[in-house]
Amino acid sequence: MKPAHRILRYSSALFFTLALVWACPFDDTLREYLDAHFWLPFSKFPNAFAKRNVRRVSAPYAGMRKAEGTSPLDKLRDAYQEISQPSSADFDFTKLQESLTAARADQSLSRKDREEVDLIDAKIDMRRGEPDAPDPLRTAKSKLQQFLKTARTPEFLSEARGWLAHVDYLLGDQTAAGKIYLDELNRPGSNLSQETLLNSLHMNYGYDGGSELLEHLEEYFDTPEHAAFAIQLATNPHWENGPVRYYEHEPRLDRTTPASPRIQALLEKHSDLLKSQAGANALALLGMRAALRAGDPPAALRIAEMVPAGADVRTEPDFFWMLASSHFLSRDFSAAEQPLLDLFRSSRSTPSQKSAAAYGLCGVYRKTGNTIEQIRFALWLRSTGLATDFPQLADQTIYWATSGWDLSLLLDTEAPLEALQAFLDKYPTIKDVRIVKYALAVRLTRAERYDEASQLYQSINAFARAGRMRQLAALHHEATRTDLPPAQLQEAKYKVAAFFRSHPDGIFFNDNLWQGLQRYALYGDKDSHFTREEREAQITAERKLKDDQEERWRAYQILRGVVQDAGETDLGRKAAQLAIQCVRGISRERFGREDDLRDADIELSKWLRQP
Amino acid sequence: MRLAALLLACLALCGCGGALRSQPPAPKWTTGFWFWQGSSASVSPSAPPVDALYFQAGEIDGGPGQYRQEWSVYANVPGDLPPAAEYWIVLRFNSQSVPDVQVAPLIARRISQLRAEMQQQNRNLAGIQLDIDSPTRALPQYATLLHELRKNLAPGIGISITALLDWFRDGTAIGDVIKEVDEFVPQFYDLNDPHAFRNGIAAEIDSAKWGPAFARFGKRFRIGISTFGRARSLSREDATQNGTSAAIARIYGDLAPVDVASNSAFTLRTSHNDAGELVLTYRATRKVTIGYNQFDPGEGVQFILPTAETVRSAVESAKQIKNCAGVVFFRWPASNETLAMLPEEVLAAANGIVPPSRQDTLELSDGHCAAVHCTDVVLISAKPLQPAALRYHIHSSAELEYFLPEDRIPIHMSGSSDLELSLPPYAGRRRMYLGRAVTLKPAQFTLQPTP
Repeated sequence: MKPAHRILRYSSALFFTLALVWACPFDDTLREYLDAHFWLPFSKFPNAFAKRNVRRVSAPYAGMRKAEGTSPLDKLRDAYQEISQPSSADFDFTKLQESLTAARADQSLSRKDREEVDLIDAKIDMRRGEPDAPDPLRTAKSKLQQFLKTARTPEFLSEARGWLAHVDYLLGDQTAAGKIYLDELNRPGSNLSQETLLNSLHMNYGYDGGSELLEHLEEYFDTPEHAAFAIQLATNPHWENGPVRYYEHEPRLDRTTPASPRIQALLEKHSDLLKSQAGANALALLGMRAALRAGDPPAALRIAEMVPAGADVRTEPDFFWMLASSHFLSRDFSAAEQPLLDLFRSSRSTPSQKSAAAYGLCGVYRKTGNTIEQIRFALWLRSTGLATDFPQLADQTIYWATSGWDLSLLLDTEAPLEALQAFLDKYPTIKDVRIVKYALAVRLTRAERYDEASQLYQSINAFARAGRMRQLAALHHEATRTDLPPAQLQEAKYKVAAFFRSHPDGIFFNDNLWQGLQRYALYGDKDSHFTREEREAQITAERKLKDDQEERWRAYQILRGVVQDAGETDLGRKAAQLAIQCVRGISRERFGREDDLRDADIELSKWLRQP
Repeated sequence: MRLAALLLACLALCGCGGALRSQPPAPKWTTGFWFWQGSSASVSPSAPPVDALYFQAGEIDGGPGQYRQEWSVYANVPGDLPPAAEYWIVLRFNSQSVPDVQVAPLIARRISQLRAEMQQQNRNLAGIQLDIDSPTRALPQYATLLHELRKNLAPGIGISITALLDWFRDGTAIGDVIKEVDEFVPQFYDLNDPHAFRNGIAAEIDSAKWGPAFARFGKRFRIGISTFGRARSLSREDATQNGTSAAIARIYGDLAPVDVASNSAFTLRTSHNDAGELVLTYRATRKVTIGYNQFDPGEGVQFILPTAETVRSAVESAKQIKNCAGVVFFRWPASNETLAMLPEEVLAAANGIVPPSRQDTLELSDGHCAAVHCTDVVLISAKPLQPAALRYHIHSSAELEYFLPEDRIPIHMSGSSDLELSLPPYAGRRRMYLGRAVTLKPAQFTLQPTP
């Protein structure tokens, strides 16, 4: 290959690699359950307020029925359909106006036909208006309001309410528009599709309704449904690095807006609105939500305690989650277990809520020392949660580490070896159990239990590793014999070290867990979410992992012993040379211990140079 | 000889008389700032309104050799402008040339739109300022551009230009340029120094020299004065050649004195340059890496910093210039910028008064840990560039589990509930993130300077 072509090829490869890395940044989050953001109440979007099984109709909108004749109404329909989508600014309305006048003059029209003409009339004004030119919109609004007072045709009434909301939206009246959309969302017989209404609500409110919703909050306290909707949206949590970033372009509350005290005051002021059973349920949830938003988990717990034992609200996924959050944030970790299990098991929970529960349980079990169950739920997230759930997570203020590093760290170092064995005894057929078996085999290898590791690898068809373990078991057996003369014993140890060195990442490193990203998960010394004791344990565990899994480091340690014992012999020098190669081959970035490696290199190099 | 003397005296008197007749009244003295991209109104939220604020709204882009050949104007009104009696929209052209005359209507159109926007915000727009570093030989083209701009611009919008001092030497077309504008602002900083500003940032304002050069046009002018600092690299050669090496220096946008001062690999030498600016020279005594910057022994960083004295002196000199209408300071700082003076410091220095004293304080924020209490601790330093070493004692009301210090911040736990912060001279930052404190119970933190 010509050098220029080679350069071009390498450059292209580099470019595409960089482009890929840039375009697909990996998820590097870990132990999210130790961060208060994880425990925020679920975000609410308009679809959460749509009741199931609302009967709807699907009748043509005014003016949209296909014209079948040449009557004035048919002509009006034809003319209107030209502007039924947002029209260009230079559309000539004169002809349309003439058609409207002609249709109005037609004495043969039925009442329903006349209502259709009236509604088209209002819609024409609406199509002429824009937020920057609001006069036609105001006229349309007036006509629609009048229409709603006099018309009787249900599908036209429903349509008119939708257009009135649209006009309010265009005129910048979020409150008026939102209430109409919300009512229509659950109104039996509505002629507006659920999809249309949800889109409209989303356009009107964005993620949390912005400052306008907060400003007009009290106006929503006319019905329990309006109040619940407004408060839930206004208390949608904000999380700088969380999924809400997808909504940055939409109106959002100022992070510093003191929404919660005002909301709590409004709830107290309008408590009569929420006196019914349904209202009480809503009040409890809203109160807990506002308390958590205000950073007051004990207040949320007090509200939860006041809810009667048999109340329906106690089976709401939101209730389970907020109860668990309140306990966890109050440092009562074990108390968070049951509501999270309830949420996980509830048939009313969405897949993403189950994922949140599973990840929360990982946190609870970490704190309570129940490693077996911690593995169980971490494994569930990896095998089920991540696979089925990820696309929906952006719709919740839930974030759990899709990196899977929690499970990887647990299996690779945090869980005691005995816990892995106990897990396999308890859940021998659980989905993806192979991951745990493989991890146990690696851990057994690190403990020099090569025969057991070999059998375990064999049982899960990891034949290459199984074979390697058999070789290693034989070498290890030789190197630990007590009946060999020293020279042979040193030679046997040298062979073990040489075997380690010739299989980097193939013996002690778990190549089934990390996808090349392990070093980014080992930051216990920089993590501020631990207690002092936990932090020290984490740092120790991570250091031990780095030492235990590095084949060259383990080879170096054996070889250093050989050098010391064999002294200035051929074997001693050979061992020293191999030890230097091992030391120099270790990735400083992954392994650390720069000073130790440098000292080792100097020591061995000096030893080799000595006369 | 006597006759000649008499004629000369008559001529002189006539000249004086003419001068007296056409002498405009002394302009009202104004003080303004340039508000550049990155500047933040929040650095000085309680600053009183300035007389004039020249805010960089955008750029003129295009021309031969540029990424976009087609001429365009990008400009917006920043959302957080500080209060000012009058505003000037500044458009910068980043090439060392003059934009084509066809850009004039584009500028006028955009300015018209921005004016409407500013009217809605009740901001008093005085005009547009072009910041174009035209080569002196290209001044005739610049004059043509300004002439065309004037034709396109709506009435009532003033035209101002920044001006390079080289334009005012004899034999240039500066007169043609100034004829087309309402105001010009000569910049007394960053004079032509191809070797990255080794002679400092500010330039001496010689009123005797520049007064006649500026006043002769009969147009309003204000003097541009620097109030920002800069960090530049020092090569080993700089050490042997007293900082005058021909090596091109690198400018660090991300270094503050604290980054090197707290590192024992560096030694500090302080001095003042010809303009009176403070010069902090840090040299590495051994190989050392700071962030992405690597230093070999002998290499280093030099910080050039404005002081109250340089600002006061510059303003006094500007006031000596006859008919000078005021000064414009470059620039309003960015948030958390240590090397630029705060507006109140600048204004106090300009008026020869002591700036209102501020106390060092702690800014605390919840780190949102779920199972422990974690608190981010930030030192708000009243005078970040103190020439003396500073020590602080920070006490926590709850026992500290541990403290995670920020990189390169010399802070450590000195007791179960105490932290010790030791800052070498000049090592402050206006807003210095110290690290995160972790406790089991909620904690209050107090700051105490220690001797």
